[in-house]
Amino acid sequence: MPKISRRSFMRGSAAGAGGLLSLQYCQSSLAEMVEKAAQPYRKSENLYRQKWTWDRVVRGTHGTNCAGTCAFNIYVKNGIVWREEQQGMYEASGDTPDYGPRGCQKGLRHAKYMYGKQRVLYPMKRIGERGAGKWERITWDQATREIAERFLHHSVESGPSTISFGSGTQMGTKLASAAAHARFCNITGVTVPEFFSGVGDLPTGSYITLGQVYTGDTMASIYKARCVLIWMANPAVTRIPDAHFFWEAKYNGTEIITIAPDFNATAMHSSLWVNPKPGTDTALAMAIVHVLLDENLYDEEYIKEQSDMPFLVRMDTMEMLRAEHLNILDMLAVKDNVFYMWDEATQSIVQAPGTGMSDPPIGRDRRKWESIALGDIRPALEGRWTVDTLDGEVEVTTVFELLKQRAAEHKPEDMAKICGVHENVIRRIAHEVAKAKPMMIYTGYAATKWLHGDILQRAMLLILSLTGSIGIEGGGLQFGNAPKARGITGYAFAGVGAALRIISATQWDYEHGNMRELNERIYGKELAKEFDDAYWYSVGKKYFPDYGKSGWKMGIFAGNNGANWRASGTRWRDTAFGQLDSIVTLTPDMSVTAHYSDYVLPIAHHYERADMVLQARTPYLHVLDRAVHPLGDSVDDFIAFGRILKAVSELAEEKGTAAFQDDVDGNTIRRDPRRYYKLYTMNGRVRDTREICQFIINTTPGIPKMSFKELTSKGIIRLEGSESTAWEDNASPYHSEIFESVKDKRPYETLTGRQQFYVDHEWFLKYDEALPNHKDPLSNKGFPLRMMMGHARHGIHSMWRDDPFLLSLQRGEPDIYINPDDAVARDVKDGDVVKVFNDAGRFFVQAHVSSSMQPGMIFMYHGWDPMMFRGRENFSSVISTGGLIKPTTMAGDYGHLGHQPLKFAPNQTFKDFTCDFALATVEEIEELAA
Amino acid sequence: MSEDPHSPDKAPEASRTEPSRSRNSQDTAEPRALVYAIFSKITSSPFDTQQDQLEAVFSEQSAKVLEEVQPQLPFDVEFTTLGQRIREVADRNLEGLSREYSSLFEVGNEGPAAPLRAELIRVNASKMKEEIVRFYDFFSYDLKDDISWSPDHIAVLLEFMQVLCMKEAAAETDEERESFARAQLDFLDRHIVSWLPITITRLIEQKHEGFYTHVMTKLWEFLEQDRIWNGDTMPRVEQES
Ligand code: SF4
Repeated sequence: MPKISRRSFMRGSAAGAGGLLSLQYCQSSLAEMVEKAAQPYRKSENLYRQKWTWDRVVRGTHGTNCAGTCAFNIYVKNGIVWREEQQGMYEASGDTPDYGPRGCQKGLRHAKYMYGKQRVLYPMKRIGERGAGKWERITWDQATREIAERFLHHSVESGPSTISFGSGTQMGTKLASAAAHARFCNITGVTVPEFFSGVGDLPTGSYITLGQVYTGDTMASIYKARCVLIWMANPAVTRIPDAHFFWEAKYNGTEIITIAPDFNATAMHSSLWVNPKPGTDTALAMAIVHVLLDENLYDEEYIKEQSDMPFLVRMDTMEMLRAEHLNILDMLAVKDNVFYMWDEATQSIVQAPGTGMSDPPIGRDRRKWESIALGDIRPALEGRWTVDTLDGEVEVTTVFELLKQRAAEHKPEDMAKICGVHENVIRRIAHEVAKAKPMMIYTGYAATKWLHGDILQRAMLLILSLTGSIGIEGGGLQFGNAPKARGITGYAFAGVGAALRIISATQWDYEHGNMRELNERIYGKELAKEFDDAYWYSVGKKYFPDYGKSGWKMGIFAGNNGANWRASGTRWRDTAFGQLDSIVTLTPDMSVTAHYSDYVLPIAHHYERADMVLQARTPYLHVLDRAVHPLGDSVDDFIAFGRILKAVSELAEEKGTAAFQDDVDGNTIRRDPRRYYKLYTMNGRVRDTREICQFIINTTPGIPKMSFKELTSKGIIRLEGSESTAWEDNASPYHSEIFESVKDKRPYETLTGRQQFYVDHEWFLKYDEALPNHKDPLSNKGFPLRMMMGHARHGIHSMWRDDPFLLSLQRGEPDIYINPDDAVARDVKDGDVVKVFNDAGRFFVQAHVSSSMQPGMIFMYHGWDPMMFRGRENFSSVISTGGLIKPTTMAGDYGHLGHQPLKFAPNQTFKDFTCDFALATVEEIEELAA
Repeated sequence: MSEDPHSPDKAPEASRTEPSRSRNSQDTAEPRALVYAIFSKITSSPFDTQQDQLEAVFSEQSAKVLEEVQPQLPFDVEFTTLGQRIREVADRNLEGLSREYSSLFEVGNEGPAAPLRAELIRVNASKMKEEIVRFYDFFSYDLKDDISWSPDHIAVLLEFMQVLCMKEAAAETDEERESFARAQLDFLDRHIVSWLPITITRLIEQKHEGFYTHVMTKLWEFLEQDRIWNGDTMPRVEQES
């Protein structure tokens, strides 16, 4: 090889080496690189003399449903995110402490996590058996072409309802991505088994009582409360950026009482910790109600006006007295929504104001015209009267009287035996809540995951109502909230109309997983039959749709780790998910759902996408700006689904696939796969999520009007109508009608137009649930320990759960908390591997012996992906509740009760099971390792 | 005015000891650059490489270049079998190669079986990545946007070594040559040989006997030799305390 000089090299080398010397990764050519002057290098310290500067600092947050939402500056250099730093420009609501600084350890790890080994960087196709973990990288073209083949085939041959679209809770918070998902589903007609009820998060009790599911204000509202019951929630762990409001309120004189069976991180900071036995909370709540009623510690004027407590009930049928009971014309007109009170002023029955208009939701307009103001009426709360009805003379009384009777069945001394809380403590809580106004119950999603979680929530609302605390700032049931982001549905339906097929994931799984059989095995034939009969009766009556009848062929999972969180997950994997013809997962990170998929498509992570996040805990809209190009071949959801639909449309064109008719809830929709892509992009006008963001900004009330670009420069923007800590202003994107009911006397969106505590639907009467009533949770026969779960400190569901640094702050692997006495009884020591088991399944996990647990319970933070467990089985294998659809949650033909996606639907049960644990044997561990 | 002990003017004197072997950059740098270039291209993802470039790399010609360059290296590494393997691949369908590459190095349930990105192996990944970027910035090696997220990929690291070698080959003064040579040794030490054996061990553990195991073991052989040679040909600089 000749000696070279700069010039001879430049002439000869490229040709000499057949182009092998050309640079593949450098923006400059080799010749340019060689020519570039360089500083002298002596040792690595030289590198550090150069000042490290950022190419740009971008505004961002984490588009996940942590409910926190914290503004970050994202620091970028050379196309890499190096770190994030909290932005600190939050203000306060009135005289409360401000919302900043915001952040948590997960968010502060993200710049590292996004480059981790769990990251899905390329489209992957399975090359072995499903679940064998063997993959090859393929191109987007190949992936979308092959997925399109399957998608088109199932759409045309079996109907689009046989394709499910699982979106995730984290996707719901990213407005543009959620809108893109919704548009995809709306255009194609795929079934959307919605996750809200699917994960047991639906606040059915709240909906039954208030006609609303979203009853959460900003976290600053906590500071306005005089007493807070933190009940089935652990905000010190789950609301890291906002938990300070509890402690600030405490130092400001607010009584903070934590009600939890374990001594959790929140309990240790509270004024009082009350630890009922797991699953007995309704007994405790109703005992508190008893004290309030027995000692006349209730707000009489409030309940007379705002609740159904003065409404009359027939003693013969236990139905509420209605117009149809009183005269023939009203009976013929089925006037079942006019209710009565006893007016002490006139000593006669009077129609309750605000009743008698058309039922919600069709008649929502009645809120504008009607009033529940009592005027001259002086409703009686107590008494018995005789009323002339079409059935003759009938004795009537008030809901309040019945409530007192019901409460009398829950005396503190009796309930103490059930819930394990001393009667004096129960009385003390009742006295605290009675003297404090406003009074708040801060509750979590754990409350809704019990079979009778609806009753617990109704009982909680009863306490709040009796103390006059619903609908006032600093009071009420603080649960969760969702924006009235009309821009999302507006975008999804623009130019195509509404043709979404939404079903509760619980219902979907019940049918596809043959969960009746599971119920029979675990809870007995009688219960299984009863629940199943109610299910099919409801479907037969068309109270709820039955999208399950045409089968399930293909599953698309986007931001949804369904194979992780499903109740009875192992069974679901075997009987439903695993039987699918095609499974496609779109995800930024590997998960068990991806693991069992046929195709896995790489999705951009938080700092690689342009979007907006809106969560009710702060009065701000947060921007998620694209700091760097998505890693590898990943793209955001909008692009990903665009690519799939483009392939579908091209394929349909090639094959000459004709448009077909699709029946959605009795409406015939014309679907033309050749036009899907055009419809999705609005004829090519929408090319980027930034444009969707702009659409949403422009069309969503409460979001200040500005360009998305301006928003990206600001990072956060204060929402309109957010001066109060409560969402009481009509101008805000969250405004809650409950405040209008209290302030402006507008009817509630319930059948009675009131806070409705008495439900005289035949099923509620049959199951003795017309009024709240403690019922024991279900158990697995022969298994003594109740397993409780909760959101984790170190992950948001399965996200970040596998981060090595965060794992180093825990035990490095999934662990389960057990009481020392229970451990000793089973010869288990801290750190041992135990087998947790019952008649549904088993899983193996590290024992974490802790006296924070009461005997008879075990506790596990949720979100651990099965991939992190020995044998790829997590807690869901022992959660035997997958088929427990409570009949009353499928009630219909009763005012506001009936199919209302995301409001009233069968809610998944996760808590009504028991299990046991034992030291894992060497053979078992070896078997799992093999 | 008191003296600033940190003033650069007051830096201690350095003394130099001559290297044990002669470096002769004019003869050695370009062949070494060529080997780095070939290994960079072979370890690149076939998915991210243009078809014509792929065909150029997996060709009779590149096998020949490798064989021809072998005697020009200042140390002994045998490339005949690798050349033979490249010829075999060239005769085969390159699709199989992509599949082998991706299932070993790019995709997997818990990340790739044998990562080619230092970040997935090294403990203090962020610090390490920062220093790599500092190296690139120092020598104005500007990565293309689509790979900028992964400056620690072996193919990029090797391409950077190629650039340093070429700069050494084209350098006009001893000082320049020494600068590029030192950078090579440090970069090799700190950012390639520090983790690559783990990947190779994982390949061996997988009992994978395909093309890429051969490539990686051959690459390691070359890197080890190059590192020893780099050390032997570098003047030792000792700071006088
Ligand atoms: S994960 Fe949520 S709570 Fe944590 S820093 Fe990010 S936005 Fe805030």
